[in-house]
Amino acid sequence: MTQPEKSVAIINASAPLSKANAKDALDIALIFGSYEQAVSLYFLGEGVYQLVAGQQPEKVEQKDFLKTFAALEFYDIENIYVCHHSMIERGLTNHFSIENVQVLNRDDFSTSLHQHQTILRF
Amino acid sequence: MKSIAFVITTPPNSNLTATAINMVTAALKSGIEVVGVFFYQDGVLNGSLHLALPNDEYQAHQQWQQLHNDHNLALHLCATAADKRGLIDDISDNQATHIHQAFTLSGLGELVELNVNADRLIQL
Amino acid sequence: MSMLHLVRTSAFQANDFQQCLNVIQTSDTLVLLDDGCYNISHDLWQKALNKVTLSALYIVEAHAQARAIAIDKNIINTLSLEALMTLICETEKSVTWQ
Repeated sequence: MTQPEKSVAIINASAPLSKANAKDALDIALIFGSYEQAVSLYFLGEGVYQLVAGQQPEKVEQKDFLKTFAALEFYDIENIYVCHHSMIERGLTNHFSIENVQVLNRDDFSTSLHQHQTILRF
Repeated sequence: MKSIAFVITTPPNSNLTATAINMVTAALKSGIEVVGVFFYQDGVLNGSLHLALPNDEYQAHQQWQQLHNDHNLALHLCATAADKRGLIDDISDNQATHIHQAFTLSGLGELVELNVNADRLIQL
Repeated sequence: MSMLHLVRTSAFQANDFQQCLNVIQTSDTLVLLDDGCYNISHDLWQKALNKVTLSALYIVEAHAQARAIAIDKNIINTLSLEALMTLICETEKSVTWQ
């Protein structure tokens, strides 16, 4: 039985360094991308710290997996959304480590997330 | 009736895992097809052969094994997550495996398959 | 495009429930389970009641009973895990806040 293609949303809700969630979520995103599945990334709450430019993970013995965000377009992952409210809460500006990030207000973020059939959160 | 696949991220000593097991069991009881279970992050610890929980405590790993035996439920351990946690499966040496036979080591591609084949993918 | 929200942590401990409420829409369904059951005592529960109709707010009965949480039927409905699995199938998609 052929099923209509499901699109996947991955909510990144953890800061990048202390926990492995960011890396584990990124691995899943890349796999879905390489299998040509539609996948979109959402950054919410602490997750918005993942996209902050100028981080130096090697200072705390982390491999710089954040660089991989720049390669997302090669996996056809082009829908990257950030919660504006989460950024304001943390005093962050639109200075991201990658381009083509879409900053959405709360309502638009929710509406966009509701478009997907599968939602994972890390 | 719809079909469901599960992603499990919690270890066997967490009560959240007991909830997950009860949800899988409830799905099967309700006649819902469970396409498979994918263990990710600390969830892979459920597949360890060497778990020794006190006899009077909940045996999450045995519950998974029972579900596998009774319902032929596919239990996939993420191979990378298992490696990171010392769960090695040396097929050339039966003595060297750390993984219970009810579980299968799989790549993340298996998660993609489960998502395609199930109507719902539930993360627990 | 209704979404089922599974809330598994207490808002006294983590901000998962707060995030859920920021994303939830009027036509969605909300289920409290595990330590998420404690959220009916949190100030945020009023926000849940304001955003979602009472008929779409649930708590897993056994999980509430296990925690000695009294259930007020005026602010939440109970369900079994079997009913939850049916609800998951009936709702187009689910997200877990844990």
